[in-house]
Amino acid sequence: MISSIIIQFDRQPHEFQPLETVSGTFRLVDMHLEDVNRIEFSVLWYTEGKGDEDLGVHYFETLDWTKPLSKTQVKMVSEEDFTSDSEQENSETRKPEIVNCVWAGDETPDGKKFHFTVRLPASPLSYYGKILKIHWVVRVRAFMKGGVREVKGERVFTVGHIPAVQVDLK
Amino acid sequence: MKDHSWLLTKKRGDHRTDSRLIGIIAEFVFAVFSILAGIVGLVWLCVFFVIPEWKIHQQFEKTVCTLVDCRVVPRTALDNKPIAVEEEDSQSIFEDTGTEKDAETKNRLALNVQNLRKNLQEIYYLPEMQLKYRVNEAERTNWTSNFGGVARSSRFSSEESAWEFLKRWQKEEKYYCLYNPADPDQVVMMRDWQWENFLALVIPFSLLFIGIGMAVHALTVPRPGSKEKTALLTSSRMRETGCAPVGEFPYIPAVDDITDSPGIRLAYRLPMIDSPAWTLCVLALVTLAWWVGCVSCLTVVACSLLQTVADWLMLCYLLPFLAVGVWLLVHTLIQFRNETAVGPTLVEVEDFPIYPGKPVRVFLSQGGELPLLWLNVVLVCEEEVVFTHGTNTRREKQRVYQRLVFGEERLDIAPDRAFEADFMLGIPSEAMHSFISSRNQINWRLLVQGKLERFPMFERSFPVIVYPAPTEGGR
Repeated sequence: MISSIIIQFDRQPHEFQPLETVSGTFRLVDMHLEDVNRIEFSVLWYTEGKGDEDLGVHYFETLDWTKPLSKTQVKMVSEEDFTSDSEQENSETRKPEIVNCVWAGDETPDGKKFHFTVRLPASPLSYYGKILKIHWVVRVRAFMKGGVREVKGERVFTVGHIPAVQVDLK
Repeated sequence: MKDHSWLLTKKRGDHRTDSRLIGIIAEFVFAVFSILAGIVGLVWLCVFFVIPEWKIHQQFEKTVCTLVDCRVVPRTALDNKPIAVEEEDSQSIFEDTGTEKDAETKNRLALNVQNLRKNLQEIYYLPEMQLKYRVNEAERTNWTSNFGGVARSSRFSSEESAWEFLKRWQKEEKYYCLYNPADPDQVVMMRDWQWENFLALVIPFSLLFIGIGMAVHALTVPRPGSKEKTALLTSSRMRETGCAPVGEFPYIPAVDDITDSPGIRLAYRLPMIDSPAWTLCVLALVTLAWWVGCVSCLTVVACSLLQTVADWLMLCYLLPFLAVGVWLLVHTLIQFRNETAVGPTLVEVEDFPIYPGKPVRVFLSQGGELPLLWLNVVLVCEEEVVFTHGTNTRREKQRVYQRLVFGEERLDIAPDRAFEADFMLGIPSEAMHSFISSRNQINWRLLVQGKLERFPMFERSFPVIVYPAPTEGGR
């Protein structure tokens, strides 16, 4: 039995704009929850290419799946989450919204399901250059009890619409 | 991929698959060994060198003595008491059963015993002095082989070298000596306190420093195994110290230098990035100073030697070094002249931030006194990465975009009036924004390039911080 983590986004294709919200689910397939010590969920970018790898973690959360969704995990959209004046004017009419949060969902035949929703930052955008590339990923790690084994799943998505670089020297 | 402690960290790629736990344990064991080695070394140095030396200088009394006589005493490691190896003992361990193997073993053992005896009986020569001194009005005469401390007992492999060593003292001359008030017969020749002897302490202290540092690191390394958590902790630490690019646009270079500097004609003046030529100039000056200093010292030594012994060989040896010094001087002067011949360059922009697809007006001012053959302004975008290659850290740049945004030929610049020009600067609408992280960068720059008559081409660089284009969903 090979354990795996399957991540799915709520929309296709997996292209997002800066400050948009990424939402989706991940499932722990062929994994007994009793054997899992903890789960780490992160939304991050990393660099690839000739240089050493850099890593920027935008959102990180360690999940204790045994507990239900706590109140602190349901975060309301705060004042600083709004940047434009028009949004601030409508602050009285806005509704509670879950942002930057991961919570346990139902037990499905395919495995335990978790939901996530994370608001992206304004930068950096995904980039496919010559000696440097910037990738955005949703990454989930499940650490098994005993501290020996871990199962990792990740799904790449793009932020922005920067086409692959063609060297242009005129 | 698993994370590792820094002892077993990967260099490049995802090739190493060692256990993180084993890495930490290995690091901790190494730290413990370093600490133990440091403690043992420190204790050994203290017991055999530092404390006796300190004791002599602090507790012994100083007095004047007369050197009565000198002698060289042959000694062995056993102090003339060789070990008597009992033949019966060796036979009792290896009983002779009459076989060839037993005979061979017995011969080998006998040879080893012979070698051991030879080593133990190896003679060395100890120079000694007979000193006459007074303690409480009582005259005492004692032999000593100690020339200023326990560490100074000198031993020589030949009798001649021991006598040579003793030649620095004259018989019947008066010297200072130190004697032990508790045991006045214990006397040593007076020598100055020499700090060089304590340099050996650097070794155990270094081992202790390394060991404690590694132990602290191994014990405090974040236990959760993911590098995401480590990166998060690092970035939060950087945020606390104000080092991380934070704010509305993370990982975009800071713009304080631009927004804090208003221009003369337009709103913002772009700061000039230090020219590498200046860095080279400073380095060349430092190297030149060092080189001239060294060669001067050697020349002085060679000349002073000439008064007694003609050391033409050393002077000939110095000639190529003098030639290199002259070349360095000329090169530095040329570099300095090239950098100072070009007048000041100012670049200002009308608006900030700069977005892709949104043209912005730029003002250029080039001062100076010499006519320019040509002057260009080039917009470039470069990927810049730092990578480790073995034990070296290297930096590489890749230019991915280059566009001439302004060009002019045959410019006569008056000393009292700089050349000025206005032009529009447009970043392509689908271009990447500026980016900075620890080891990777994407830099947009305006390069002002020009050529003066009889001078090499010059280039000055001005950073252009490009922000991501506004989007419907975002702003």
